[in-house]
Amino acid sequence: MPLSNLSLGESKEIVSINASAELKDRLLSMGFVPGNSVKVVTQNIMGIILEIKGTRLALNKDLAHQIKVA
Amino acid sequence: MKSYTLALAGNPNCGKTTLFNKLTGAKQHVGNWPGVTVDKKEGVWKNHQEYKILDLPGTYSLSPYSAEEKIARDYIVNEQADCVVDIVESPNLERNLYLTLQILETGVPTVIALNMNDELEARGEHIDTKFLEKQFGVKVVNISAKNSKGIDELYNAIKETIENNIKPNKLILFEKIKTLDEEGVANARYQKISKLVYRAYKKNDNIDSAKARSNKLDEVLTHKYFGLPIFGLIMYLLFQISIGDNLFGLGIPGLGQLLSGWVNSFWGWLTSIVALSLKNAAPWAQGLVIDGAMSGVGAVFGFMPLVLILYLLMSILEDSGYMARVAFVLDRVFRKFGLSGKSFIPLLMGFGCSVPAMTATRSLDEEKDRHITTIITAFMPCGAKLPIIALFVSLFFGSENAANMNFLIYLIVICVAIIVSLILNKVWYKGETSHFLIELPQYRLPTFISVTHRSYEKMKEFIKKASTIILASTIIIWFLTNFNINSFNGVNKTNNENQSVMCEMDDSFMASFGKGISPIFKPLGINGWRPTVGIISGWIAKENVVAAFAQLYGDDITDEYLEKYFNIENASKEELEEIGFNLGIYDRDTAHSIYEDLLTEGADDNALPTVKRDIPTSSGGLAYILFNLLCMPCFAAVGSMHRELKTWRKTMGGVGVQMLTAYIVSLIVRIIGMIFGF
Repeated sequence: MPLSNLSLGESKEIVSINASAELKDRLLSMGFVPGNSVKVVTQNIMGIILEIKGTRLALNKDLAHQIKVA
Repeated sequence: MKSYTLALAGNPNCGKTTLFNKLTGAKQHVGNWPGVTVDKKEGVWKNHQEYKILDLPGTYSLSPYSAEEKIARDYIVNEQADCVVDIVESPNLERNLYLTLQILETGVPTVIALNMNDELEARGEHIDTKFLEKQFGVKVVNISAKNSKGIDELYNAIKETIENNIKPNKLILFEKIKTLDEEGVANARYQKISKLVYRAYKKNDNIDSAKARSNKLDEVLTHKYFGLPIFGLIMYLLFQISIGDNLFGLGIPGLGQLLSGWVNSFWGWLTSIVALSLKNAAPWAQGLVIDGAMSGVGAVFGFMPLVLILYLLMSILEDSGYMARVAFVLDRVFRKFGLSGKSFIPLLMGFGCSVPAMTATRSLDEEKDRHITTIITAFMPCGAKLPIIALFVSLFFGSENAANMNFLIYLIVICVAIIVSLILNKVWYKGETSHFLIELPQYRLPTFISVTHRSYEKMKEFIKKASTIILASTIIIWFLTNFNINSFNGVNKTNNENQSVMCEMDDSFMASFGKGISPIFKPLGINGWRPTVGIISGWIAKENVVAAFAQLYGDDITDEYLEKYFNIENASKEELEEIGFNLGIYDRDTAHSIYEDLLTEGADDNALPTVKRDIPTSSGGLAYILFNLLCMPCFAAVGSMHRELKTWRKTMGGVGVQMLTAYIVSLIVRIIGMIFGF
């Protein structure tokens, strides 16, 4: 399911990223790598804040839709 | 002596620039948000002059996608620094090691500096540097750039690395990933890192409380209902404390206004002393020093505390880590205007100075956003434009309405920026911005030392500007407004009663020049050559507008003027001093009340002070303020614009947009003024 569907406090593993090469590389280098786990810190209309590899990242809904987790 | 080149590399916001400033004594802008450094900077190690240091922009990887990554990658891969210093944010070890692995893979001599190690130790955590050294084959040292710890150890490690040409181990990983695709490579790297971190990073499981606090803070500050109001409140406080004079409507003056009053009194005192000591000097010399240099520079100096306090508060905000949160909170709103939430950071910095603010647009992901943000950042009422607002608002609307008018002006400027952004999105740059991604740095309490240090630097910078560009401009304007061709062929000397070679301002070089251009501004309710000179001098530095006014309308505030127009020939010295005019200082409040009295008494036009003859209506005054705020920024900012927009065609296009916007907005204000009679 897309990352945007996760709710507060939920923790899941990244499965795949659907993005342009440039954006994908940025995501990979920031820790969005298949197999890594993410944890949702905040989730509201503005977007989603999550923790990945001990770092806190904020992204908007559009981007969260492009990342699949399971 | 042989010299060496060091390159500082690392993730965004890992403290590279802090270290760079510590080592070189430079004063590069630092802040707690990703993307502060977006260009490579060069310096020399203060204590070890044989080392040249390069501060590369922060990157998450060495792939050749974004502009910053390309700069860092090209340097590390091609130019081959004698040693790369990889700065790692220790509390964020796992993610930071991703770039480290990429750097080590290039095979260049490297030293790894684990920054913010004291923060780690403070919470009872520890990184096993010996283990990492053995794994990577390069030196690993603990440092704290902020607190100047571990700098000697870093030096020794670098020296040893260069002398013995210590190169990183060829990890099995490097061979393995050659056969993998992009995702596989990233995966393999992170797997390796996980193993390393598991062995090297001794975590303290009890620190979850600190993390929980940070979570709570994020929950509130990025809350769907509270996020925006909290941001609004913080902005309100920021501006009230620095430039406002009525905090929460309680009549408490802001810190900036308070200090500003002191500086004005001091300058008045200084001017009177200088005037006294020049009593016997030639008229032109008195004019040059008192009317030229001191009144012009003084008018600018009085506003310095406002700018300084604003800058100080902004640097606290930047240090705290809040800026990245605001970018997130505002993203949805900004997207409606065709911008990214990250545009907020340059726009807010634009309230300080648009030169570094425009450079900060490089942290935006899309070129379209970068360019539009650069162009509209020029609209922001920067520190140098504050005096323009303050002076003309009190002149045309009275100081009792200052708070409301300031707010209205800010509102107009922000609306204009939004509309221009929307238009540029439709006309110039087409295309959608859809993704938003930002790292939220750890919240940090700004240190007293770093904040005061930066304010001190800002003050030094301002004094330098005042004593060079602004002083030179005021002297040139003084010359051009007090002399004409007849000053040099003896005609003035023969005709003037006092044998002075100076001329009436209305006959001066500047008047002839200004008269040629001023018809353009007539529809805006702005007459005469003086306001035109103000606008043009503002392109050199926006402070000049106020400085020029103090000079050009100096006649309004002399004793002779008072005597002539107010029938106070017999006023005592105390009475004159009370209204503050005979000090030669442009006292805004007094000026206003006197003008008001004059107007209500129905004085005839010629008796009006020149400024009221040139700009007779309040709407003209507002149009004049807005024109100065929105038109082409100072040349330094145009240079910064060119660096971001890359071509002169685009830069001139941007300036054209700004000029046109300024004219249209001022014209609309004037038309509304004519309809409603103000």
